[in-house]
Amino acid sequence: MIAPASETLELRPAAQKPIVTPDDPAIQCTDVWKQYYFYAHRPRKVKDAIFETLTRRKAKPPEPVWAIQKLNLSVWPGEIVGVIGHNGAGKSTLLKLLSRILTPTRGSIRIRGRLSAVIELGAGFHEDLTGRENVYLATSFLGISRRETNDLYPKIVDFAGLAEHMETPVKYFSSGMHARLGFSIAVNVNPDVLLIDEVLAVGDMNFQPKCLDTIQRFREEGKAILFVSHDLQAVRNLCTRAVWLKHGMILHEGKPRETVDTYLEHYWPGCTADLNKKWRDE
Amino acid sequence: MTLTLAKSLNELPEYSGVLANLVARDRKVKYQTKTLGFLWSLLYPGIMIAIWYMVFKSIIRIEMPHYWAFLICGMLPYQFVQNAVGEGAGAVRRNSGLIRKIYLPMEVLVIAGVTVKLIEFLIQMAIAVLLLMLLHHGDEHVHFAFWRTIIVVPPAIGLFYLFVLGVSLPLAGWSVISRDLEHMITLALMALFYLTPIFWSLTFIEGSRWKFLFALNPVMSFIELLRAPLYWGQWPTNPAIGGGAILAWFLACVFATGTFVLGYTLFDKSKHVLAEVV
Repeated sequence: MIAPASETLELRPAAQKPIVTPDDPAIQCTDVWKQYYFYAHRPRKVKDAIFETLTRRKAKPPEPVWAIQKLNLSVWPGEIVGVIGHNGAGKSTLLKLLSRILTPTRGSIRIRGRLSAVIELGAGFHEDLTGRENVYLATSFLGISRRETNDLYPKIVDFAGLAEHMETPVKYFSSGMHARLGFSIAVNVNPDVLLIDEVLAVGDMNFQPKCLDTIQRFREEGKAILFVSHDLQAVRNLCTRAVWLKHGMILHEGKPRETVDTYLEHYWPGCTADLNKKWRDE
Repeated sequence: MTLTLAKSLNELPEYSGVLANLVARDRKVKYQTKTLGFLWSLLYPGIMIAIWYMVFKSIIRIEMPHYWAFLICGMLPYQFVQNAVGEGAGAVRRNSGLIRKIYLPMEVLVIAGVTVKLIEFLIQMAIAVLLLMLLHHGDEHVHFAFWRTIIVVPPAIGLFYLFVLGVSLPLAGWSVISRDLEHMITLALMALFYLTPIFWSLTFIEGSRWKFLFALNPVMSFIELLRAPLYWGQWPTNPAIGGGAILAWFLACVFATGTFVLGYTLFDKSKHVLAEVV
């Protein structure tokens, strides 16, 4: 199921590839903090201001929330680092910080090479435009020229398996089709760094193995991958390292199996023995 | 402050492909659902001008030679400001789905919105120039001047575009943070319509000692740049404070670059929080 080597090699000619030495991390987060203020959810109204002055009672400003705290994380080329944790642990915030959508409150983030992200599937699609037009729009966001997209286009369509639907506006796409096209664009633009948020939740039985194969192939090609998932089994099998996030902090970092076990034991003591047996049987 | 602005400006050329795509996307989406399609962008200002013409010519009885030509030269630029600021100021909010998922310098969205309106404005102006060339002959005081038009209009529109960008950028950021701004923008644009010599001329208040105050209105200076060759058949002057063409150009340049630099700087300051708030 893994694509033949010849095909993977021609994905990017050697001359174009930025030189990333294995010693340098592809992703480097140094003491990153991210604070959210929920200031926009309820603007201060004139009515409240008058009320507050009259009653001399000050309304409490909303508490800022630290979504990411003192996070140090490096990902080297050829690694797949899994990120696990409960909802609201800061996993998506981390991905958004890495893809520059959000800026860290403190600390620095360095990325080497072209970054491609599947943050939310089908990201950036315009519902009224066709699949084809959306591919060109999405690649332009990554700084890829029209000409280069012309070359990538057949691969993207083929990988997504949507050849007959590319002239249809994406608003008529099913969510699975959305996801497939989004993922296909992200992996077919020759990224050096790939960020993936919960891809395996959507694709069907044909598409999921294809995703996993691609991720494996990327690792062999020396790309750096950050993989956020609730599918602990996938994290165990696929990743080369895993981190467990809680309240925006890394509570454990190490071998995927170790991290997953620590995570599970923390919430359900004693469950890992059964699970490990079950997963081994599969 | 200036340094971060330079950094932001430096990043822009990389996103010219995005800009082209966004403009094409806007134009396509806007017109594909309408039977008359692109014609709307011509019909709408055309009909507006016809209505204003009837009101001011027949009811208020403004006496100016070739008043229709005068009105066109003011209305088209004003409608550009109105549409472009409306489009540009809402650009970040309308694309909230995009900026929560993808990194791109958000000014690109604003520039795209304003550019869509600029293209409409350019087409309208091309038709207006053609009309004026054919019909606006008048006399030595009021006529269409071909070569002056060729020389003056393109740089004037360029400065005008820069000015509108400078206004739209901070508004786009602030209108994400405060939803009240939308109403204020609408009101301000309405005030602008009456305070700018669009359907009236500064020659109407010749004697007033407050006339010089109108020189503070940047939109007026751009409209007068365009109107000078198109309607008066002259080189531009500033009708509020007099002076020659050099002063008129100087003021327009100051307004355009000043607004752009200030507006971009203000936007730059607010833009890092926008993806969280929007």
